[in-house]
Amino acid sequence: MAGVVAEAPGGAADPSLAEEAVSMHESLTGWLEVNRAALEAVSGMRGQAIETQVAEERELIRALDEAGWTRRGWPADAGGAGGTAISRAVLYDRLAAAGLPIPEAFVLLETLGPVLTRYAPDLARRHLPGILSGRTIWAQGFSEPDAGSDLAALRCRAEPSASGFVLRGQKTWTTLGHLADFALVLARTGEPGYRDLSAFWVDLADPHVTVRPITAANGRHEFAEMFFDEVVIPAGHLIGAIGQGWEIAMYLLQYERGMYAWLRQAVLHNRLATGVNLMNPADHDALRAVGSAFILLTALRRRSWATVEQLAADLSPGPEISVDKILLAQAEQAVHDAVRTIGAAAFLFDGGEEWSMRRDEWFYSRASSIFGGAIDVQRNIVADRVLKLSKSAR
Amino acid sequence: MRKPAEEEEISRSADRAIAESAPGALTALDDWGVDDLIALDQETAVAVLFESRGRQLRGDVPLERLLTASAIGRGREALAVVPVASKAAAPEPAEQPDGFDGLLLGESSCPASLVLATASGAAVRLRTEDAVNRPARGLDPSVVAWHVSGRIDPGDPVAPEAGRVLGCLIMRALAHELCAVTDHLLRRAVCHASERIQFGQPLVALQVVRHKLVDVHVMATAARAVLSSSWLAPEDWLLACAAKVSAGSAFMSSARHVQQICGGLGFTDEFGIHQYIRRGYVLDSLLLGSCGGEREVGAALASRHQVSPVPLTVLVGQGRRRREEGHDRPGRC
Repeated sequence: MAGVVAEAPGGAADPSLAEEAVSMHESLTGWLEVNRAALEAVSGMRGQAIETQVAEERELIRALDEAGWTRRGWPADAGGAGGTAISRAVLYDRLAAAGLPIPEAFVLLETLGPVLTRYAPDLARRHLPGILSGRTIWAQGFSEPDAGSDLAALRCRAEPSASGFVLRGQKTWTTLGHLADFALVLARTGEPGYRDLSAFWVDLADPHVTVRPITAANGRHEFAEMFFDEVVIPAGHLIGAIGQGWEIAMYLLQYERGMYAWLRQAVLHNRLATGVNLMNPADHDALRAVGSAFILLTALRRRSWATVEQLAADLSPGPEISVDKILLAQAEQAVHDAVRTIGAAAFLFDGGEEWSMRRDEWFYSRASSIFGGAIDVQRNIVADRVLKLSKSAR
Repeated sequence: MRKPAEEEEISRSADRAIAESAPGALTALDDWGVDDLIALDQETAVAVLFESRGRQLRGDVPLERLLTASAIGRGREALAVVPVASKAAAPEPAEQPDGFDGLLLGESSCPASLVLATASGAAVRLRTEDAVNRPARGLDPSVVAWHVSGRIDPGDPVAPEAGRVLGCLIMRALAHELCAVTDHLLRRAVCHASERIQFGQPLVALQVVRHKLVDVHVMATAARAVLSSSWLAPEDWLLACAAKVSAGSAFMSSARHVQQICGGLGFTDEFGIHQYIRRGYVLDSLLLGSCGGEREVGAALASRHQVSPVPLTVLVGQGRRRREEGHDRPGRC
């Protein structure tokens, strides 16, 4: 064959990862079939107050932990059962496919857990078992009133002290902040700019910490603001090294944009499926909205799984992951717009629990193009680093 | 999964084979070893050939014949498709079992017998000798096409399973060709906006221009991902439709934004993007178009009463194809 390399395609880049995925998939699917009803009974329902929902989700986490599932994919020396991010990705996919909620706490676990295990193994050993069993909840203290997408502008400051550090400042838009026990806080430890940032593990029960929930547009306490007034932080709660905060933030964002995208596409498939079952097949607007959402979800699923495999193999996904962040925001909004279109009058006027939940989710999806790095910032990243659009003349 | 360098080498050699192809003939592709590649790796074969045809604007290479041979196994039969605009005039077999019309692409002449793929995933074998078949000339003069009509040959049906496989294949093949057209348009726009100085700076220094280019890139990337998903479940009609619709939508976005970014130059014959825009509109209009296609995908989901994603066990270990990453897009001007 002239010019054609004769080698069959397909096959896993890393056979052990493929084996891990298939094994976890088979065993978990079987277990969920048997235990689904019991898990449904203890699961929280979105649409309740978030405080109630999170409390009920703790029961779900506990049940999953007792069966050993939440520990899969976390290092054994940190209280896990070994394996890679692949196992966690399978857990989220199967939970959503079974119509069970993916606990909100796992969203934070997925962003902060990899950071702790990599940059602060001692802290991981002490704290990972707590969140894996539903006993504790974590929060991510990055954004500030004047530093959201422009994270390097943050002003929350940590000064060295005799016993460690003293933290002063404010964080905001902190998901589950008012329900959390601990937070990873990014603070300035030197000059302005991104180089002099450091990450700290903060006990939110400290009397010098004040946390206030913020009521979101959907009426729920989706996030909170945190105030640190001379909080003494032990030296052992420094994550990584002084000045390593930006690197840690970038490492974390890979998971926030990779694993989180995977987790959300699993949930969104479930939401779209529910909508399809309510749809009037003669409603052309609804059909178009559903078709559009399905296409975006299909793209997101394909791309985010490839990213999860890269993360599991300890490979950096690179700037292309910003494309996935944009796709995720589009898919979130498309799916909930599809549900809104399907519901029509019910979405507007049905006061029942189910449509209240769908309205809450629709409202929250409006923020998906803002939180975690606004998609306008992602566009800039793609322009600079993927399309390599130079602002100066060639 | 092939290594990127392998993918690139196959793509380059396919470009040469397409460039050397005589109008209406597949001889150069036979010399290249097309049958071996299809047998070994159908996805790569279809992707590189149809994308090369799109990149080179070859409207006279009847690649569709390779698809009929692969799906039906009766040799390289000519393949016509139902254009979106004619859907109403081309009812389903159950409604009007003996009369159809469609478009035949890339063929130098209209054969007496051919296969017609419909937008519902069915295929029929037509006898065309008693009908009036005329050349189709319109928006894209470089496409060699025929309006064909004919009657179903009752003694020579296409098996439903083979028809469905063929339908999925042609949907994906056209999606690949559309993706190549979109990539070319985006590349031209990136080059133009990087070199064109206005108000003392390159056009790409303007955020509105940068973001439009990124939006096209995101749509093109999404289309590639849907297309790749379809290859992972090759007989899933819904995914094949989603791939075609997604590729059409990405093309429409590129046509709109790229022509605007390229300004007056983009409207000149010399600049040349109009040829790709003409080709893209023609491709989008075949079988299932971006306008109305999302509704068709929604209707397919409604009829299934479920939303089944590509199984995780199918995604495992697939990584990303080189072409999915859009490496060719920024490129040289």
